Amino acid sequence: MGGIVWELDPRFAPADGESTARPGPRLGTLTTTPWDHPGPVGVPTPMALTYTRRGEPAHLTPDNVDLLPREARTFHVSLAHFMDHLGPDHVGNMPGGGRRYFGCRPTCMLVTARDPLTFDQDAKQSNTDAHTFVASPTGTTKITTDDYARWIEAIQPDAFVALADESPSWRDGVALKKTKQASARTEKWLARLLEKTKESPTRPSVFASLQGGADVRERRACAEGIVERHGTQLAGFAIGSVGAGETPGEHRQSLLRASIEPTPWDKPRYVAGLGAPLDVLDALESGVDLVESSFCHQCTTQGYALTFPVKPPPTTNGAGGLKKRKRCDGKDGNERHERVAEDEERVAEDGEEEDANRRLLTGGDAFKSNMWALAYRADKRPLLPGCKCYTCERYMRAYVHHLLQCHEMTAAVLLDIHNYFHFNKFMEATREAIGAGTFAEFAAFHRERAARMDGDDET
Amino acid sequence: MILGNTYHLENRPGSSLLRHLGGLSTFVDWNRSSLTDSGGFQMVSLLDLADISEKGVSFQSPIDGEQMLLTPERSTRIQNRIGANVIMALDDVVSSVCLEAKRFEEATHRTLRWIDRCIAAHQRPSEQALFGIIQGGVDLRLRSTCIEEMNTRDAHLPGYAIGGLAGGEEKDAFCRVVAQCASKLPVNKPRYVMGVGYPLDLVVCSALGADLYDCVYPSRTARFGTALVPEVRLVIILIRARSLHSLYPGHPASEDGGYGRRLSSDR
Repeated sequence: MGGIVWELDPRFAPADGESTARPGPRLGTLTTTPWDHPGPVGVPTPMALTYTRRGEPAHLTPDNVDLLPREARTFHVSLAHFMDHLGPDHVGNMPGGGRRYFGCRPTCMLVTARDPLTFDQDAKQSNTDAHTFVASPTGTTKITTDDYARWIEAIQPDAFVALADESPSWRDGVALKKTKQASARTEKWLARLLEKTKESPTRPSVFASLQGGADVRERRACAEGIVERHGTQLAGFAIGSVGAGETPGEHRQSLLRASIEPTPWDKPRYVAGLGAPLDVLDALESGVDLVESSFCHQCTTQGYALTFPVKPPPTTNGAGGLKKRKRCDGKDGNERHERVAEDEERVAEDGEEEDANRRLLTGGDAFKSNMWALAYRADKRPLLPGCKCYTCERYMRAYVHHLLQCHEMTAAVLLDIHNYFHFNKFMEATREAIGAGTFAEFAAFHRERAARMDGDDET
Repeated sequence: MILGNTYHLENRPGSSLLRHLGGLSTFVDWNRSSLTDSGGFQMVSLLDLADISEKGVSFQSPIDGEQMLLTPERSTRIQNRIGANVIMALDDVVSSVCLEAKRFEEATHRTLRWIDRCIAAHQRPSEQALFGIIQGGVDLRLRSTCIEEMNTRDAHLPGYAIGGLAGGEEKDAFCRVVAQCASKLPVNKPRYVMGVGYPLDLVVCSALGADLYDCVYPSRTARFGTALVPEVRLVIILIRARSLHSLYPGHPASEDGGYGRRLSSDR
């Protein structure tokens, strides 16, 4: 509450004589003052906000969230999940304020209207000057700026993205008139929300949503207009209508840059819908600072474990050694350590490659493994050997596979812990690469690896 | 202490696989105690699919229709492979609301013949404690016979269970059976009343001298949206919870944060 503060790492600020910094990639720090902390809490960016359903991670209780890296305690909250028969009051009327409604206590909460996973549904309805639509639990529901403001008042987020008229950027052939209309509405709703929330006692920060569809010029115009007319009241910028089917790579980046370049370099940029690792690379290269991790939720619910290496392997032949596992039987993994060692030794020659082949043959890909696959039913290894998450330090693939086969909810809990942990480690690796000036190589590693493993013959 | 179901674990993932993976505790990373039942309860719960003879119980798997013969030997060896700390003898369980007195008599004596087969088949007596199960329906005479006979195998039985209850019999009869069994079973060994139960039953049986219980009630009722609270069984999904009280008012964990009753209903 009380808004967010974002600071660019000085190494990425404009050099002497330059009026503006390069758009990205870049490092920063996001600071909030949570209601239950004595002081401010800062997390480094680029960073991924944890996906939530109705304000809480779908499968993780607060103690499980504490098993994740600190950055995972920043949440992305979708208003759409709340918009059923119960209005904002049942949240807002919590003694002490709406933030106490939630069991988990995120250090930062960013609210948007939509769930990144249901964007396609939302975007099909025709909007008017008064309202747009969100996919709520009871169906597609209208939402106005008044509704939005009331919910913001109730939920007390640290920041929110203003309500926007969005349309997917793959819709080439959308009449320019309609795109301009969407931009105009978005700006009008932004102005209204700024007006309504500026007197709010919790003073949430406002992110403008930048539109312009698939048209580079319209994106630039929309961004310029919003910056010019409202820039001083804004804490950051969300680039809207992406991650909805537009062609990845150069085309997507051109849209992102068109929205980002007119914005002030000292304010953060957020994008929803670009969550898969290669999408994240596109986003960071274009200068995005905040993404969201609905990708992890999707992987979990479909029984996938993220198993890609977060960064290129070290070039030295260092003895990584076999990890000691924290087993609860007090053996510290020694006994199993030896047995696991035998298994690993047996496949050591082509261990990783064999594992990778198995992954590809069983419905996985370069980034994830399909834990439903029968190939894992007797596999004693952790989801990702070497991973330090709670799940990988205690449980074996065979167990997660068994839980999935039996339709036990513990499968989702263990997968969520691993997937969010791993995804946050990936974001940490991006920050390391950005800081070391090796992001280009870092991105190339991931792209080449994916192309090689997923059989892309075009390169 | 966690309970594993022998019948279902043998179906998925399979006891041989569990042994290969280090046993149940290693598989689920549980460093405390565990117990497996024998599969006997499935005789009652899956009765339409079961065929009981002196040899054992023949099931038709509800998952894929495959036949499975569960003998005392097979049940014991499956439990040996699963590796729980406590294993249960395969008993001939009759539904407590069955109307044929002869069936109870047959089951009582068969249970005693089967206990000897379980003891003989048990391959890990120094690692896993085998519990014998007292049967006899609500007939105190049959129960008495069963206890006396079971006692002669006392050297091989680290513990005892009172079975065949918690199946819908009258509470009066239930209490009498538990009282009788608890008073006649060895005082230096644990007594496990299987399938119990509701909070009041736990109190009564404990007062009568029982030590161990198992019941699906807490987790099953939770799956259907019920939270157990001191005042009343609170069915959360049916009420539009506008109350501000936490699930457990006054409980230290509920004061800061945690989940309120109303949050539960919204989800």
